[in-house]
Amino acid sequence: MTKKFRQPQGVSDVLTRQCYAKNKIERQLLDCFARYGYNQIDTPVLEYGDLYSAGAGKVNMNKLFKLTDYDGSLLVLRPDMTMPISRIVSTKIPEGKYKFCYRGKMFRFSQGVGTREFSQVGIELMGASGICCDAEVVSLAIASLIEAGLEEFIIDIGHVGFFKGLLSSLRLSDEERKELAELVESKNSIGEQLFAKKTGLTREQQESILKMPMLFGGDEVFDEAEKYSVNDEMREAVKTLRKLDAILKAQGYDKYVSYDLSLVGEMSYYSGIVFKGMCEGVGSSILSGGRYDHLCDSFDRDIPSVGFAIGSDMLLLALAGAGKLPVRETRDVAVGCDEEGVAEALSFVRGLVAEGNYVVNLSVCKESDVKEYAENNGIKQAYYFRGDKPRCILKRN
Amino acid sequence: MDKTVTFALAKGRLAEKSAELLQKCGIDCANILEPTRKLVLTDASGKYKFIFVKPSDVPIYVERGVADIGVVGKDTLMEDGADVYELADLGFAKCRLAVAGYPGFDLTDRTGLKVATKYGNIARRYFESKGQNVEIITLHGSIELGPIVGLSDVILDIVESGKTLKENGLTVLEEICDVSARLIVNKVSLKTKAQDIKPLVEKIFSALE
Repeated sequence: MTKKFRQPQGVSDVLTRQCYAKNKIERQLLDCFARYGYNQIDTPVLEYGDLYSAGAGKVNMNKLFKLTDYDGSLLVLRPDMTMPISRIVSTKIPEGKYKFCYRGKMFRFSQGVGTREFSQVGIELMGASGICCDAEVVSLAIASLIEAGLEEFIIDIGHVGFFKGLLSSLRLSDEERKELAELVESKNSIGEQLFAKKTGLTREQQESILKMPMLFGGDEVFDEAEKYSVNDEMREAVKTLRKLDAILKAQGYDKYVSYDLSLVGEMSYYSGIVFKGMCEGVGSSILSGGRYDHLCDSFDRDIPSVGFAIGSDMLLLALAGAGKLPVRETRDVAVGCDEEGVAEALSFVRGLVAEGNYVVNLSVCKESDVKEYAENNGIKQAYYFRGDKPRCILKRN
Repeated sequence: MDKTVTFALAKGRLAEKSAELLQKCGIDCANILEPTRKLVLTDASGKYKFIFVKPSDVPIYVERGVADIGVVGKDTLMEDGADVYELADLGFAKCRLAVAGYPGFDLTDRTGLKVATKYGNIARRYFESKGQNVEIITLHGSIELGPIVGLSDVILDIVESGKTLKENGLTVLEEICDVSARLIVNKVSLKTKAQDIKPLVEKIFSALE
């Protein structure tokens, strides 16, 4: 009789095949990042709630898993890695330029069907600003997805300065700003129309708001975005994207990039370029990142940074869709023995493993069981120990 | 780069209206308008695929990316929420969300008001915003029965002409908002199929003008 066991919502077990593929891809990504000079770092899953409750990195507390420490302090499960890494760099590391990569599980509390535990592999380039770093990081995002085996994907790039510039030209309350940001992020044209009418804006400002949702596509959007720019902040954002586009094109990355001026960025800490990786057939983004120059301000440090994270589960979905999921290699050798042959079989297995083989030890069983197992699992060699005498019972090429 | 673009449409009148609009945008929708029990149809060119789903399921098909584009009532979007782009008000299937009950029923002077509705989330948000404590009773159809059989004090539902309400002796007590059909697009599809979807959305915009 098996007892039924409940599992919490939004988390899932990863069984062997999937686990193999996930581990392989994540290690491939980390290896790729390491070769580009990024050193791996790890942080605790537990952080104080304070880390996420103030400053640029403020997160809606309802979206965090919370626990109470023995002294009553609020603890949370980390919702991302950017904030803990910023904490480390701000408080433990002297000034300079740093490149970090990481992999880990993040937790976000959500009601309903959403995933609440998810794996990320990502990088942060800290202590450096400028278009050169932005371009380096976006290029690495593209290179790493290619390295993982993905051929068709889009990195959709925006710049929060475009929307922030528009906001600064409008006299709005904090609440109205928030409302407009949500409308723009979801390309809600109807809401924007109502918003534009309601708040009594000039014709030029209204047009810029209403044009926002359609300001996406290839490099042709830059001209149009410039046309609807009402101040220097907006023009500067477009200029940055133009420069970035030129650098990406020069590397032959045209086919992987598109632009969207209405990308506002899910995280409020983004201050420059923002980007998302997407793949046809996967309903949500597989990569997300951007520049965050003011996140360390809450630690009284000025550390301009840029980074991205790849959602490994989403990337695996994309790879599965493209038929590019890594498949576990079959084992090379199967070994079995009778009661008297246990010790001999074990040392034989150790020898095979030392030679680099992948071995399945079926231990005490019948000879026919070993042969059958090998045949059913595509194993080309099998040995059986009767007493201390090994016998090859199967050998195929 | 020609890719198939998939539409999720609600069966019935919403699909007919959507087909008329798409026809104006140059998509051959003749076979959508013919009566059929098929759940998946393709246009003559093979470029557009149409899947027919329950109205309240349209957002989930689009959010999950199995359909690129959907046509759905604003009421459904408000009730269930969906992480999609809401690009246009298509202007058809117009109606109102309203609180209805027996004529003269005083909504303000009640604690523990019982509200029957199939829009549980909208009802909760609406009464919360008014600072009123209510008991929400979720039904799946014939909402008007609520006050008649004494299950609830009032109902919260979409009202088109008000005819059903009138025939059951009920009337609109408070209007919440106007709703109509919306064009929604999957956030990833809009970018990965931009060459196909962007021009189509632009055509829809001009057809609506």
